[in-house]
This record gives sequence, C-alpha cells and structure tokens, in this order.
Amino acid sequence: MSMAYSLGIPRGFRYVRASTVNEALSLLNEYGGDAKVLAGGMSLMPMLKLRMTEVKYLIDILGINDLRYVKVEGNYLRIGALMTHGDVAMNKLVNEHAKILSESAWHIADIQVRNLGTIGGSLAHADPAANYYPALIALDAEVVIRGVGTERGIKVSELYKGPYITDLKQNEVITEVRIPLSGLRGVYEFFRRGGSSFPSVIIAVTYQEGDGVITDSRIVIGAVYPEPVLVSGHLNGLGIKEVGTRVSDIVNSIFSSIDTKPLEDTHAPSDYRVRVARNLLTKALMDIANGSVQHLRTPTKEELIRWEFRDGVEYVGDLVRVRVNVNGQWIEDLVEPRLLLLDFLRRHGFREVRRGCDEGKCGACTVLVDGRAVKSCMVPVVRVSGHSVTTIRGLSRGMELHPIQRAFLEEYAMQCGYCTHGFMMVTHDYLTNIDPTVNDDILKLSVKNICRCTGYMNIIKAIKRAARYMSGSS
Amino acid sequence: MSKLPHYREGLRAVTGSGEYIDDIPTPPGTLYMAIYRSPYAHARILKVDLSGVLEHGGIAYGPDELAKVIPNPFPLAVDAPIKYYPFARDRARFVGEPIAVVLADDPYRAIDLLDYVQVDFEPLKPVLTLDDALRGDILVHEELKSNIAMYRHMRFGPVDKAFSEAPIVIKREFYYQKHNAMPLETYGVLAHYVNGELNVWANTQGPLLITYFVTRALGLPTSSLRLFSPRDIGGSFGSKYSLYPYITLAAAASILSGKPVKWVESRTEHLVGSNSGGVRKGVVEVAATRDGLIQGFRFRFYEDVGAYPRPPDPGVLFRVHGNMNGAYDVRVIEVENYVVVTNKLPTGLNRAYGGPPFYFMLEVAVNELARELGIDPLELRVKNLIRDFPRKIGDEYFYETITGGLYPRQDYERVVRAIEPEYRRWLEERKRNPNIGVGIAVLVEPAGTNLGYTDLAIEPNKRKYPHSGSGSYVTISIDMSGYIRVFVNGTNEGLGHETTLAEVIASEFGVDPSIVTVENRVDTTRVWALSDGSYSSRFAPIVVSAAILAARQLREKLTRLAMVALGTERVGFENGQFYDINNPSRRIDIRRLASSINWDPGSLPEGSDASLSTTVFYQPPTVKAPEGDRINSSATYAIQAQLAVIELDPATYDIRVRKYVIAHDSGRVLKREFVDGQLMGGLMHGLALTLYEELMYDDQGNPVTTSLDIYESPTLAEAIGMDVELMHFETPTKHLVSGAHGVGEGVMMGVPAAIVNALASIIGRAVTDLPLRPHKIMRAMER
Repeated sequence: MSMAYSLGIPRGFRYVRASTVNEALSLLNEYGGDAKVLAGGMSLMPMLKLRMTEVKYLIDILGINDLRYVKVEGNYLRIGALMTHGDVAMNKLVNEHAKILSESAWHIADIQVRNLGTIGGSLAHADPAANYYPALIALDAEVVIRGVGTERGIKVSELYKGPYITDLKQNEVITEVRIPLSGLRGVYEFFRRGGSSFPSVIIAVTYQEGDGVITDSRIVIGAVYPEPVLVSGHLNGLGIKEVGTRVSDIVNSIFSSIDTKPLEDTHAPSDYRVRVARNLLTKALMDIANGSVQHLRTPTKEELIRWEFRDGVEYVGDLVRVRVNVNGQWIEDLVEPRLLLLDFLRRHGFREVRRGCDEGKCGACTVLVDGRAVKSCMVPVVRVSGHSVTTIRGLSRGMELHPIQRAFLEEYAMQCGYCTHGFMMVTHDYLTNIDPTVNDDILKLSVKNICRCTGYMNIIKAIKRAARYMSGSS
Repeated sequence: MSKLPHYREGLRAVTGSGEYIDDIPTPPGTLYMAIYRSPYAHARILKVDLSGVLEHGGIAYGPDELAKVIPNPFPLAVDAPIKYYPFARDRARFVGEPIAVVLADDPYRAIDLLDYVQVDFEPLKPVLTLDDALRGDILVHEELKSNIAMYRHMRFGPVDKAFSEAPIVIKREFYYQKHNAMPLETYGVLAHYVNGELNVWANTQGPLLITYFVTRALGLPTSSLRLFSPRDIGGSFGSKYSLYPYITLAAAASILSGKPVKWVESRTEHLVGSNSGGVRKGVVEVAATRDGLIQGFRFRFYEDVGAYPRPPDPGVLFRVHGNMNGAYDVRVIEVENYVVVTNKLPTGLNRAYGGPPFYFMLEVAVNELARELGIDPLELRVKNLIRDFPRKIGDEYFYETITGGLYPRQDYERVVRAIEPEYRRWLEERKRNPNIGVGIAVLVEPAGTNLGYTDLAIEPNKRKYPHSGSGSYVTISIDMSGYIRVFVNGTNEGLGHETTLAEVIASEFGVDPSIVTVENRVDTTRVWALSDGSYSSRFAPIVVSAAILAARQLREKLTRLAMVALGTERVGFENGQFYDINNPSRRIDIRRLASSINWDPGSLPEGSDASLSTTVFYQPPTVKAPEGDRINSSATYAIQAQLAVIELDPATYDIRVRKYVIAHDSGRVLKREFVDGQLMGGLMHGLALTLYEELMYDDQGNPVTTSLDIYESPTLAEAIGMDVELMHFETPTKHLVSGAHGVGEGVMMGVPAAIVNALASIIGRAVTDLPLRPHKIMRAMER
C-alpha cells in the first residue's frame, strides 16, 4: 500500500497538442487508453496533482478555436464544446435562450475556473455534482460527439452513465452542445455548503405553458443521486396556480417514484440531501405558481474568451522548450511537461506568486494569463508557452502603485500577506472583465479566494475602493 | 492622491515583496525532502526497505538511520511513560506519522521517489473515539496501560455545599470538534548542519522554547542551534509552534546527508499530518438560585490529544485555568480533566488555544440556565458580572479568581450593556421573522500566556521546578545617522508588529515613525528568552511594554549625553529634541546627538556611557509560578461581549450571519486598524469552526478531510453581506507598561457560543455538537 500525502505535483506525462478536432481524434486513436484529453483542465489537473489518476499522454485541445462559438441555427442554440464556463455564464445569446444554463455556469467555482474550464470538458468529466447536467437535461439538450469519421448526436440525459462515466468512447470527443429552442422556461436552484465545496443539491425545472396550463415540463434533480434524475411531463396538464396548491402532493409523488439510493458525503448525509432537494423543488414550484421566479441579474457580453496555441511543442529529450512573456519580458526554459506555471514563475524569481493548496482552490497562486485570472498551479507552463503572464509587478509602474494595490493598502486588506497577491490579481480580472460596479451578488459568485487572517471584510472594502479608483470616481 | 497609510507589512504585501519560508535562498547543493507517512492509523512496522529509492538515484533514511541522530524523545508536559519522536520507530500511531524521509535534488523528484519506499506493516486495530479510548480494550501506548495520559481533579471553594443547596442545577453535554486554524502558508524548513552548527530557517512562531525541544531530541547543545525565521510568515494562528518535529527531521536529514535540506509541506500533508486542536467532550453543570445568581460551575472535560500528548498540550485545558469563572463573580469551581490518547493526528496550539471549547461550553450553559429560568440571557449575565476589584497590586486593582487569575479593573457592565440596543432591536425583529436568531456571549479574554500553566498537568507534589515564563526582550539602538533600530526576537504572521512598534517607539522619542526601523524575526544568535515569540496575544501587553521600557531607558542615556553636549545638568526633552531648561533656545536634535556620539565617542568625558543601545527584558508583574493548583495563567484579561444575529434558511437549514456586534475593552488601543483586523479575523475563524470546519476520520482512522473542498473553509463569498460592528472601549490598564490587553483571540472564543445560542433562540434548544452542519440542525428541529 503506498499512500503519499506530499501532493500537489502531478506525475510525469507527455504533453501533445491538437489544433483541430481531427488531429485530436487521430491522437486519441494512436495512443488508445494511454491518453486523456485536456480541455480547460479544471477537473483533470486537480486529479493529476492529487495523484488520483495518472496519464501517459495529455492531448491539449484548448487551442481548437473552431470549437468556441455560440449561435442560433436551425432552431437550436449551438454552443461549441470549448466555450468556457465564463462565456456560458455571460454570453448574451445563452442568457436570452437558456437562462438557467447561464445560471448554472455562474455557480461553477470561481472566476479563475470559469476562465479556463469548458462546457464540453465538464460534461465529459461527468462529476455527479456537476452544475451543467441538471440544467441541460431540463432544457432537453443534446451533444454532438465526433469520432474518427463518425458524428452522432445524443441527449445529454443519455450521455451521463454514472459518476465519472459517460457514453463517450475512448476515441471520441464532444464538439457541440445544442439546446432546442422550444420555448422551455426554467428555474435553477442550487445549494452548496461552504464556499469551496462542491454542490450538494441542484434543482432545475423547465416548463411551457399555454393559457395558464402547463403543456410540457421537465424536472431534474442533480447532485443528490448518483445520476441526475429527470422527471418528465409530471406537471403537464396542471394549471399554473394548481402547481402551487398541490405542491406537496407533486413533490411527494416525485420523490416516492425515485428508488435510487441518494449520495452521501461529508457535506451532506443522504436523508438531509433528499430533504433539501424536496424543499428546493417545493420552492421552485411555488415560484413558478406565484410567478415569482427570480433569475440572477448578471452582466452579459458577446465576445468569447479565446485560448489559442502560440508556440509549437518542441521536445529536447524528455523536456519541452517553453517561452513565456512575464510582465513584458520573455523567459525561456527547458522544462518537464508537468512543470506547473506556478513553479516556473517562482523558479524564475516571481516569488510574489504563492502556493496555498494542492487542489487549485485557494487562489493564492492567481496570475493573469493574457489578461485573465488563472490559478497558476492548475496549468502546466507548457500550455501557456508563447502567451503573456502578468503578476502584480507587471501592473505597478515602478514605485507607483496600481489602484488595486493602493486600495488594498488603504483598506488594510491584508494581514499575513500570503493571499494578497492572488486576491489583487483576481480583483483585476473581476473589475476589468466581469463587473466594474461590484454588485454583491456577482462578487459572491465570482471571487472565492481564501484568506485566513482578515475575515474578508477589509478585502471586500478594498475591491470596492479599487472599483472606484479604476472607474475614475475616487 | 492622499498619502499612503503607514503600514509596512501591508506595503510588502501589495508589492509582492514579502519574504516567506519558500523564498529563502537555498545554499548550493540543497536537497529537497519528502516524507513517507504511515498509511495506517495503528500498525506495527515490520520492515522498511529503502533500496528502491537508492536505485532510482535518491537518498532515504528510515527509522534506524533517523534514530542514530535523533536519540531522544521530545520532552512532554505530562507525567506519563510515553515517548514521542518525530518519526515512528516501531509502531505507527496515526495516519500521516512520518516513517522515512526521501531526499532528491528537485522537489518534484523527491515526491516521485516516495513511490519506492517499501514498508511492511502489521495493521492493528485503531483507537479512534473518546469512548473507545476510555474503554481501553486497545492501547495507543502500551507502557501507559490505559489511554488516559493525564487525569487531574481540582476543587475550588465549597463545591459540595454549593451544588447540594442550590435551588437549580442545570447540566449540559458538549462536543467540540477537531479542527485546524489552517494558515494559508504551510510549514517549511531549511536545515543545514555544518561544522557542528545547526542552521535552521523555519516559519516557526515561537515560543523559542522549541529550541530546547529540537536540541534535546537531537542530543545537541542549545548553543548549536542557530534558528532563523523569515521576515514574513503566511499565517500561523498557533499552529506553527508544532513545527518542531519537522525541524528535527530536516535537521536529522541534513546531519545524515551532510547537505542543506529543504522541505515545504503540501496542503494535504498539512490537513492530515501537522497540527490541530483536539476533540473535546465536556459536561458542564451550573448551580444557581431561581433568580439567576450563579452559585458554582462544575466541569468535566475529556480532551482527545491524538496519538501523543505533544507539548504544549495538555496546556489547552489549563490556558484558561485562571479564568474558568468567565466574566462572573463565581467562587465555586470543580474541574475534572482527562487527557486521552487516540490514533489520530496529535494536537497543539490553535488560535485562541483552549478558549473556544471552554467558552463554548461555559457560555452555552449559562445561556441555557437563563432559558430554563425564563430570564433574559443578557440580564442574567449582567446580574452575575464581576463588579468589585478589591486586590491592589502596584497601581492597579484586581479581582482575584478562585483559581488564581488576576483580572485588572474594568467596567464589565458598561461593555456588556453596549450590545444591548442592537440586541433588543433584533429581538423585536425576531417577532416579525421567526427565522432570525439572536444570541450572545460574554467572556474575559486572557492574553500573555504564563508558560507555567502547563505545570498543572502534574500533581503539585510531583512538580520538580517552578515555571512562569512569559516575558520578552526588546533591543533598541541608534545608528550613526540617528535612525532608531528596534530588534524583537518575534515573528510576523501579519499582526502589524513592525508598524506598531515603529509608531509606539517614535512617539516615545517624539520623532516620526519613518526614522524607526524594526526587525521582528527569530534569530537565536541574538538575545532571546524561551518565552519570546508571537503567541497568546502577548504582543500588546508584553512586547510593547518591553519596547516602551527600552525606549525610555535609551532616552535616559541620551539625556545624560545631552547634558554633556549642552553643558548643563538641567535638560528637558520635547519633540525629539533635548534642550537646556535654563536656555530653551539651546537645543540638540536626538538624531544629531546620536550621530555625534557614534562618530566621536572619544570626545566624551571619562566615565561617560557612550552606549546607544539598550536591551530590556519585561516580565509581566502578575505572572508567577503556580501555587498548588492556583495560577494566574495569563498576564492580563479583558472583558468582551458579542452579539450574533443569524438567519436560518428554512429550505436548507443553513445559517447565515446577518449582523455581528463585538464590544470590548482591550485597554490602550495601539493602532485601531490592527485591532479591528484581529477582531474581524477572529470572527471569521470563529465562524469557520462553528459552522464548517472539521478534521474527520473514517472508521479505520483514515483522515477524510484531505482537501479544502471537504474542509469547507469559508471563502470571500461567505463574508459578503455580513454586517459587522465593532465597539471599542479604551481603559488603559495600569499594571502593564503598554496599558494594552490582547485582542487576537477573544472573538474566536465567543463565536461558537453566540451562534449556538442564537440558533437556540430559533429552534428552542441548544445544538451542542460542533460544527453546526445543517443536517444536525434539521435533526434537532425534528426532535
């Protein structure tokens, strides 16, 4: 029995890239079971770092910009599989046509994870607590799956086969998620315990009505059972108001029809999980009946984050050549493919970037990659070769502090200072790309770095002060 | 733009220029250490085979090699036949216990090489819960013959009379979970043994007593250890005191390899194998009259210290010994303390050491008394508050507790009444919204530990030597340009000590803080005391007192030198200048004076003292060794009242804090922003332990809490929308030179009780099993 607790560093792997779907498929064919596809890596990298899994070949597909699109076409909202969670959350079309999908994305982890993680990657990973499945199943969505010379479409409800198991064959990739524009409206309810935990309960309800009567309905319960449970058509024929008056009967009959054993983990024992699911479903149905469904009010945008491959992958023996522009200066090195951007930066003197955990949660190592906040412990440096990385030293001008630095200092938003760099970097992305006005609800869904000293109150004040400085209204 | 605030540590933080342990430059040839840890909670170690590591180009040392250079166990605070080494010798007693170390020239490779360590184990049944341990079928340490490493039973005042005659006695049982204050920076050590000198850089927080532990285990003289801390430490909250096993292991690896050895802990290791508070089961009885006058407290505590009673434990039980009556005038106390060993991670210091479990149990029990009697909980507390402080020592008056504590005079009622308007307002709100809960906690915050309290672990007649370590050294000198240089053998975990000392000392000299430089870090090549370090909120009461005294002594020296310079015996001092009282236009600036003496000491008359340096050791005046079972366990105590307003989500049974009010009198406020920071930080740590964080184990003793996801640590998101109000009273205490009490721990001591009491106001019963996970609340509501 070998059990190591010195974790946070993946075992060695060979890193290869695919610039097109066909290239990815042929690499998958070539390497067979020895390879895994790396999209955003927000699930795979923690598993590699915690040595829960290992892999001989990582096939990086993040640079396939062909898989990064969103459009309405042929009565579908079509979403490229490599669209990031951040874009799913904020994109205008998604918000217009599939609001609950956007909401489910807003609840994914934090800005840094949403900047890299992709919708296709999340579906392929199939975590039973994943945010997308309930929303997509409620929306009756499908995925397009490609293999070498094959293409097939299946319902998202058919894709999920069990915790971390999908219908995807080893040599297939998801290329598109498509949502029928059938007029389903919905409610998304969500419960997680503690900011850094996975969700314990997800409820998604969609329905259509005509003349006050429900004509179609889909209820999905996620994170409670080993698979998302879909109850289809259960509300059909009921008057909207009737959903409210008969809510306890409806909820009872739905849950008594489920004979799967509920999940249990440290966050929530099974009886509690089911109870909360019942309560949240009741709340969702009452909101529908009362016409009081409240959606998240969130900013939207049209342009998508693009991650592209810049440099080729040049091996020298087992090492790869990388060059990264850090704060305006190119730094070249020969490194193991597994070397994390965090350690690359620290080894090259950027010691302001700090390691706080092994799983990519705490955010202390956050830097900007092409202007977007990324946890540098979650990214092998080879992935960002040819790209630019910014630390706080790249934001300040000589001795003159950047407004974010100034705001943090003026609000005494630090004690030990270990988390401060990561907080300032994520604040920069938040104020620049997400929400310059610092709405509490958006901030709450976005910045989840961990500080152990300050109690956060002064950091919140500092983010708001920095927002005033950056908008010029000091 | 306005001027930036004077905040030295903060400036380092925002510019990313802090220096933490992983930033210390490594000497050429440094090897990186990884630790092979036991995968079993309890197992006999049959064979350790390290050949695979050597075959793959690494270096490894197992128990046999380590034992050669770590000949002695660490000293213990309990009188028990237990041997605690930094590695398992023939038996592993918790998952995560070090068994072997692996060295490589690259940290990634060192971790990889752990795969080649082969250990044969004979698994044994582990002892995991307090009940299992007390049953004693399986023993963690066979030499102990039970799993109880210490039992002390102490009675103060007429206990039997008070409890038999009281009209009402309430009794409650409590469970306080195992948790870790978890600094964001993990542990790190760089050890280099060369020429008989052991050079160690570690992010230790002191007390420097650990020098004794490390050198004892290694069989080296204390003089051989040159221990340094980096300038900045990424948080500690007590936990980094427990670095000494790792310092010892890294030192051993350096001695054996002849190379510098560096080790930085992973987060997973930190959660599994480093340090935590203990599980505590408690039974509290309160005797009272029907109108709510408390007649006595009876405590029975079972403290689970894990696999070894690691110093300073079982101090966690005695840290509050002098203040077991809380803020109340109660002179009857009985306490039974059991220290229990189990096959889990050993315990140690954790923010507010001993305070959170103690006040959780005391302040929920007092609240339950009020609820049972139908008396307003705030009024019941006010009724029992201490009002008279009859004992005069020096210039200050004290209330002497029945257990030996000396509380300096403060207006307790004023502070408790300060939360009353908000308390009443939210009780009104509760009438409109039944999901609102209102709870309070009142306490005295101890600060400035008396290391002598660990003596209470031993029966009085068996104690060998008296102990009362508590003091601190501060050195101040003036350089050739007139800059004032301060050195403290302390550590900077973010408490703003450099900034505060600069301001305090500048004000003693009447100069601008910019001419004061402060060096605040561990360096055992300079003057130090075993009690030096940064712990138990001792900075404001003790270190600052030493600094002020040193500044005053140096000013005295300067005054005598100014007499020479000005040619007069009558010298006055104002705003950084000495002047001739007879002719105030004749004056000399302190910097100029210091400069001339530095450059030209030969010009002074014979017999003049040209020293521009002073070192003061300040021992707080009321800190003495225990007498029998009575001890003044802390240098000072300060009143604090807390109000928690929570909202219970009826759909998820989760708690959200709407409003939190903290009223306190911590004496002189040295820097308001830092005091606020300690209170807010203590609040979040308190909420983390009350609502979320727990180190859990499965039924085989495997740690379950191996990630932050499972630990449920609150993020920034959890603090959004929480309204916090701080109310400072400022009555400088006269018994300490600084006039200041501590502020780092009191809030965390009160939060568990305030939240539990707030929840009780909603659901009609106190949930006394922490943390308050929603499913426990759901079940309590079903009962």
